[in-house]
Parts: sequence; structure tokens; C-alpha cells
Amino acid sequence: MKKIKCIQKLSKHLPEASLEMSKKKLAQLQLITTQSTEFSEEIGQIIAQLRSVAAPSSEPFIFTSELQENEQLLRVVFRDCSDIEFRIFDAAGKKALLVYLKGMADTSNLERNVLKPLMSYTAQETENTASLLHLLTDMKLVAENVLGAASVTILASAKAAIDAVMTGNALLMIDGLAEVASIAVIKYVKREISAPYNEYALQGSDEAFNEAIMDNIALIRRRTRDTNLKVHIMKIGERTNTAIAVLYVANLVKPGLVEEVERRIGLIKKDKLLDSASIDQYLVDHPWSPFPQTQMTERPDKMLAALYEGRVGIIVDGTPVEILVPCTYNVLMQAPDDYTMAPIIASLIRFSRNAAAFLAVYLPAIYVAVVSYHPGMLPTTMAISIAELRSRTPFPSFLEAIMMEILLELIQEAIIRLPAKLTGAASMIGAFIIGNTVVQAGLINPLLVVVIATTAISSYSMPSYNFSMALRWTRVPMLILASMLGLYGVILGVLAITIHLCSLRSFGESYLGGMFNVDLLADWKDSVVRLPAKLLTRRPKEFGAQDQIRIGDNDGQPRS
Amino acid sequence: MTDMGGLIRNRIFKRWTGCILILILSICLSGCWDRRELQERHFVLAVAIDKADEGLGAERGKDVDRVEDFVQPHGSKLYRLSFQILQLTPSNNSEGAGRGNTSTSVISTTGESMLEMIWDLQGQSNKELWFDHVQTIIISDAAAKQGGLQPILDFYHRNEEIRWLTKVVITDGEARDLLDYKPPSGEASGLFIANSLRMYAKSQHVPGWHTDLGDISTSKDNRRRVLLPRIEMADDVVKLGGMAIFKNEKFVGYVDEYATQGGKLMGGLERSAVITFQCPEHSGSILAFELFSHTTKIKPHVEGEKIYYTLDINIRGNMAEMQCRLQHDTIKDQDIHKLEQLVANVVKENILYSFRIFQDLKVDASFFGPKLEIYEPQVWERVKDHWDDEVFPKTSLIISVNVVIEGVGAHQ
Repeated sequence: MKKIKCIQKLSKHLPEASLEMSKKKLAQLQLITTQSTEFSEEIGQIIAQLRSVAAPSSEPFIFTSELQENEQLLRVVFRDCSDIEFRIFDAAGKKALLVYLKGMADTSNLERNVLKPLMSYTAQETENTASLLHLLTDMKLVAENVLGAASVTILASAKAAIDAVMTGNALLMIDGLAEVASIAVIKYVKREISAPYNEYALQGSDEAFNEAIMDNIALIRRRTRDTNLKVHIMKIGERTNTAIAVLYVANLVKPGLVEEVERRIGLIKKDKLLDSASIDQYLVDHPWSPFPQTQMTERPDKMLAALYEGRVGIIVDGTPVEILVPCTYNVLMQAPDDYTMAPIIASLIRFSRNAAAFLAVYLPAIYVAVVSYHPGMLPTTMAISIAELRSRTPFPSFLEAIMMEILLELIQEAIIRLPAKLTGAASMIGAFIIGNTVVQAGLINPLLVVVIATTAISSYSMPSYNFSMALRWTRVPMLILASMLGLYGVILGVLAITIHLCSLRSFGESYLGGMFNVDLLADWKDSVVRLPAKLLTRRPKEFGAQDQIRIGDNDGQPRS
Repeated sequence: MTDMGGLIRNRIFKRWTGCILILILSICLSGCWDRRELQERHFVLAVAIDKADEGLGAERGKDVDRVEDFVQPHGSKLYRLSFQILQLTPSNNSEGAGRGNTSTSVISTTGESMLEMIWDLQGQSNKELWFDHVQTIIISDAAAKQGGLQPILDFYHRNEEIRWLTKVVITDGEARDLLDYKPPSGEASGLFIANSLRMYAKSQHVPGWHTDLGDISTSKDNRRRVLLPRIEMADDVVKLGGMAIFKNEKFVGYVDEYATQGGKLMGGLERSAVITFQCPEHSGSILAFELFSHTTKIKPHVEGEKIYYTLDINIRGNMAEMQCRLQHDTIKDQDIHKLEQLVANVVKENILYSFRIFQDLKVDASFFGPKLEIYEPQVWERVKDHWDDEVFPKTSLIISVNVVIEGVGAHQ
């Protein structure tokens, strides 16, 4: 019995230990915990509100004169950014803080020009210490007297300070001062200036743009000593905040053009900007057209020449290919080598380039139209030999041409995508397939191979890759038109393309129309042909440069 | 907002429908109805027209005629129409394509309407017949004599596939035989004949001027004479030379090579010619003068009822051949003049020979009538109705020839 008594419920003796009671208590505890979290959040919000009342709406916070406080605020902004360095040191008895991005700031420069002069006063107590203490009461005095860096900016705004750190500047803060100094010590890994990859010139300069915007601007500046060459840097991209420079020659450029370019750049709404090509799509008037409406170049000399014709250059940080506007068919047909060769040779090459552009679009279409609709147009002996060639192949000429086009596109795409060491193999296979086997197998007749190869070579001879891509694109609809409507369809296509090109506008300039404008006939001196340099005394009328004459009394004077 | 969106969508929809509609309409209106690949066509390279009972090879079986024939509800079987058709022989080696050997086949039928015969010939072919590349139309003189040129050539004048420059020749044998002829070059005989006719400037015996299909058509429409080059074939030899003259689409007669040459000299049409003559001092030795260029001027004169023409010819050329052992030294002036005189006489003789032949045939082959119309319109009004038959044969021709021998010199 005694034993039984022993195992009586504990709750009988201690009513507080009952299960219900403990559950109740736990719930109470939980409630208190949640409430306290809520309280702390509320308090945090109130603090944030209090801060933001002090800071303007565009600023995350404002700097205080307490270094401890400032550091705390910055650490909140840069939390989880392990590449940010906070360097605390003692400057003549005062606490100082240096903030910079490890990969983007030149640390040896900081050591030499910032840390050493400030800390040297601390190490040995000299009479200078007192004067330094005096200097340390004002950031401006520090910048003027102590810091050895080439470029120092005094900042009061937190946003500007954060931007400065993110671009690679170092931020110097001294206890007791609400201002900060941004020291330009930007240094990061970048590619060296190299030869152009896509726009090689036989006798021209071998320097091409690289990724760094400042280097690119320097490449332009180095080629001219003209203060009229203006550079306007804008920041675009909500997150990346990419720098975009608009370059123009102030007393040449057509009035209103720069404003229009800047307006269009300003309208870009984008989170990131990685390349100039994506800007290009925001600038053009007809984004659905296959034809390039801005000129892309990687040659600084080309850009400078364009600037002196009254055009506008756009340099985008992070891209070695920069933009020139306005862009017309004419400028796409000009290559740097045209100006280094004898004018009479350059004129012939210009002509063959134009002919190549025509062939690249229309040749397969004309072939298909003539072979399947109008063999009467061929001379008899040629008709006989083509008919004999064609009699072995089972497909209609349209299907044949489309098959060859697809094969060609595949080979081109493969060669671009493959690693450089394999492209040789790919082109070998392509050559064997097209050159030999397809013909021997009787799938495609040799004449069509000649036609398609001519077309391909023609499109490769374009100075602008984007333009040759456009030609490649237009070829296919032309083929379909030719196969459905014969030469009638080809003519319809010619009309459609010509009308489209004439109605395209690049910053107000007609894409093709300038070639056929009687008022602009003088521009043929450097479009259809290339006259000797002595005779090229006037700038192209097309781009409406304020001063038409390149050299002479009028130079530099705006047209009245 | 939704209304705006709907409106914009509606507008875009309308625009796209419009574009697609235009595209479909253009395809429906023109479409691919005439798409026929090169190798799916039968190119007719030459056309031969014979009398219905001609053009029968000796070795042909009796049944062949029956098979080729068709039932014709109207008219009678007047003509035999034969086509030389290009046969495609795919060359097996990749480089041997083209001109070398063209294989052709010949199909023929009889009937009266050319178009009816063509449609009947489609029954002997596995592909559609196309006339884009007809090079030569060969007419046998028997067929031409039967009903004149009009019934034979009218279809070819009207058909849009046949070209203006198609060559027309006449033969005194059977035209179909020429289609079977295999030239040594291996090309089709239609091409062979057309190409050799194109070199008329190199041979004074071939009349090449204004003898293409288009020229014949304009001459016919202007009721002028028609000249057709003559082609002859015996065994494996085919030769152009001389011409046939048609007046009012009726066959008038053949003219030999010498008269053809005279006619060309008269019209100033020779681009190069050879004029041969006997050496006056060494009988039996031949001298040959090669003509480089010449100009002529024909002018009519009227004296009462008498109409006569003056013909001035300026000829430049050199001595191409002298078989009489350097007796005529072309360094001395008087010798050169003597030679020039001799050439002039020969040319004069030649032209008068042709002129008389044309007068005998009562055909104004070198357009003396139109000259009279230009210079003396009143006289022409009076005589034009009986020009060919009465007036032209009575006109006379006064010829003055001026020969200049170039390239003088001598071997020492």
C-alpha cells in the first residue's frame, strides 16, 4: 500500500506542476517573446524613421561627426560585402577610417599618399602634431595639406560616398568631421590596348578600344589636341550604374543632335548594361529592321574621323565596341583602308563592295527565278549546260538553294561558336561537304554551289559585320519571293527593300535616301567614289556639320 | 485603359491583316502557275517545215507515218512540222558538263495549222515543249512554193516565246534532214546553222543582213521583198551560200553567191569581202583584193520618163594575194593606181551582174524604190503602183567606184 501511495500524482502535492498549468505558462512565455520581437522591430522602425527624417529622401543616411556612428552606418550598407576593407588608424590622436574596395583600389598608392602622411605625425610627437591637430579640424585643409593623392573630392552626401567606394575610390573619415574625402586611387585588372579583332586595317593604326571607358576616351583624346572635342559622361542602369560617354565636336555637330542622343540615352530604363549593343537597341527608331541603324566600331581613329564629320560617338563602359550615330548605308560601306589606298583603287573597291552588297541579297533569288521561271532569258548554250547540270539533281531549284543556305548558315555558326583550334576542322568538313560530296551525290548542282559561294563571299566583304548579317537575313525572304513569283517577285523584293531602306531614319538621316538626293550629290566624292584627299575639302553635307569646309577661313566659326 | 489597348490591338491587327491580304492577293494573282524548272522543259532548238509528203527518210517504216499522223477535221495535210528537241544527258564526270556533245532528237507530224501540229507533237514528248531557245527555222523551198511564207511563218511571228533574232533559212532539199545532221563540233544542228549564219560579215556569199525572223516580219508587213539565206546539204556537207528572194510572200527564185555579193556591195553591207580578178598581163594568174570597209551612196535621177541611178562606192582594202610573181610592185604609185582601177572594174561588173538579175526577177532587192521616194516623191507617187513590175526593170545604174589600196609595201 505504501508503495502505491508513493506513486501518487505529483500534481496532488504541487498543483503548479500540472500539465495544463505548464502548457499555459509556456504559451505565456511565447507570447512575451513575440511581443518583445515586435517591440524591437517597432523600435528599429522608429529609429529608421528618425534617421530618414534627418536624411533627404534620396540619401540612405547622413554622416554624423561621430566616427563610430559613421562606421556603423557604412557597415550596415556594406554588410556581407567581404571585399570592402575598413581600415581604422590613428591620425595625430584622432581616430580615422579608410574604406575601400579591395580589388579596385590601389593599396600601395593609399599607403604612400594617405596612411603614411597621416600616421607619421602620430609616431613621433613633433611640433608638427599640434599643427596637424589644427588641420584635422577641417577635411578641406586635410585634402590641401596632408593628402598626397592626385585627385581628392570632399563629399557630404552618403550616396555619393557609397558610389565613390563602389567605383574604386577610397573614403577617408576622421573622427569629429561630418565630411568625408574621396580619394581617386582606382586601379583594377583590365585588358591591355590591343589590335582590333574585327576591323583590321592594312595600313592603319593597330590600336583598338578596350573595356575601360577612361582608356577609350584617352585613345580619342590622344589623337587630337582640340578643346572643342567634348566628353559628357552619364550613368545609366538602375543597378549597374554604368558610365556612358557621349563624344562630339562642339562647333561641328549638327545643332540638336547631341541633345537628342542624350535624351534617348536618358530614357533608357534598364537594370543592367553589359554591352553597347543593348544600348543600340534603345537608340534606334526601328528596332524591327534587320539593318544596323548605328555604326559599331572598335577603332578610335574611325571614331575620331566620324566626330570631325559632325557625328556623335557613344562610348559604353565595359565594351570594346563603341557606337557612332547617325549611321547611313554610306558610312557602313566605308572601310579605313579606303583612305590609305590610292584614290582610284579605293574607288574601284568601293564599287565592287556595292556590287557585292547587291549580289549578297539578290543573286540566289535571281538564280532561282531564272532557272525555274525564265530559262528563255539565258543564252542558249548556257541554258543547255545548266539544264544538263540540273538534270541530275532531284530537287526543285528553290529547295536546292534553301538546303545550301541552311548548310552555309550551319557552317558559319559552327565556325563562330567552336573553339579557335577546331574552326579549321569545321571549315575543312564544310569545304569537303559542299565542294565535293554534295555535288557528287547529285543532291545539289555545281552551279548552285558557285552561286551560294559567291553570295557568301560577297556578304563577307562588307566592312560592317552587322550589315552583312542583315544581308544574310534578307536573302531568305528574297529566295521565297523568287520561288513563288519568279522575277516579278524579285522585283517586288527589290522594291520592298529599297523603300524600307529609304524610309529608315537614323537620328533623322535617311539610311539610303542620301545616296539619291540631288542636294547631297556632292557627298558622292566620298561615297560612290573616293576622291584624292586634296579634293575632299568639304565635310559630308548629309550629317549637317555646322562648318562645311574642313580647312579655311571659316574653320571653327559656326555658320551664320 | 482597356479600351485604348483594344483600339491599338485592333489597329495593329488591321495593319497585319492588310499586309497578309496583299501578299496572298499578289500570290493568287500571279502565283507559281508558270513555274517549270529548266530540266522539266523540252527546249526546241530548231524547227523544220516541209511539204507533207516530204521529210520521209527512206528507211522509215510505213507504220511510222500512221503513228505520227492525227485526224484533222478541217483542211488538208499541207505541211510536215519537225522539231529538234534538246535531250538532257547528265554528264557523269563533274567537269565535263556543257557544250561538248549535245544530244538531240527529232519529232515530226503533218497537218495544216502550225499550232495544231505543235499541240499534237506534245503527244510525242514527255515534257512541255518550249520555244524560248528556237535558233533556226528551216523551210524547204517546196513548202514555200506551195503557199508562200505567210502560212508558214505567221505563227512564229505571233508567238511570244520565239525571239526576234531567230534565224530563218531556206533549203532546196528536205528541211527535216538538216535536223538530223550532226555537225562535227557535236552541237545541235540548229545551233550550228544559227552560229554560222551569224558570221555573215566574214563571208560575202552569205546574205546575213535583215534575214532574222523579226526583220522578215517587218519586211513582210511593209510589203517589201524578203531574202532568206540558202542552205544546202548533201551527205555530210552542209553549206550556206546564196539566197532566195520572196516578193509578196511568194517565192521568186534563187540567187547565186556572186549576185549575193553584188547585192551586199550595192547596199554598203560588206564588212569584209574578197574580190578576185585575172591579172591582165599574166593570163591565168589570179589577184585577190581584200575589202576592209566601204561606203555607198545611191542617188536617183529623173529625166522625163527615164529614171536612172548613180551609185558611188568608196572601197578601202589591201592586196591579199598576187599569184603573178611580184610584177605589180605596190610601191610605185602608178602600179597601185593600175591595181585600184582593176579592182574598181571588177566591183562594177559584179554590181551590174546583180542589178540585172534583180531586174530580171522584177525584185527591187536593194531598195532603189525607197530612194526614189525620198529624193523625188512626186515621181514616186506616179510610179509606185507598178514599180517592181514595170519601172524598176527599166531603170539603169551608173556606177563609179573609188578604190584605195592601203598597206602598200614590198618584200626585197
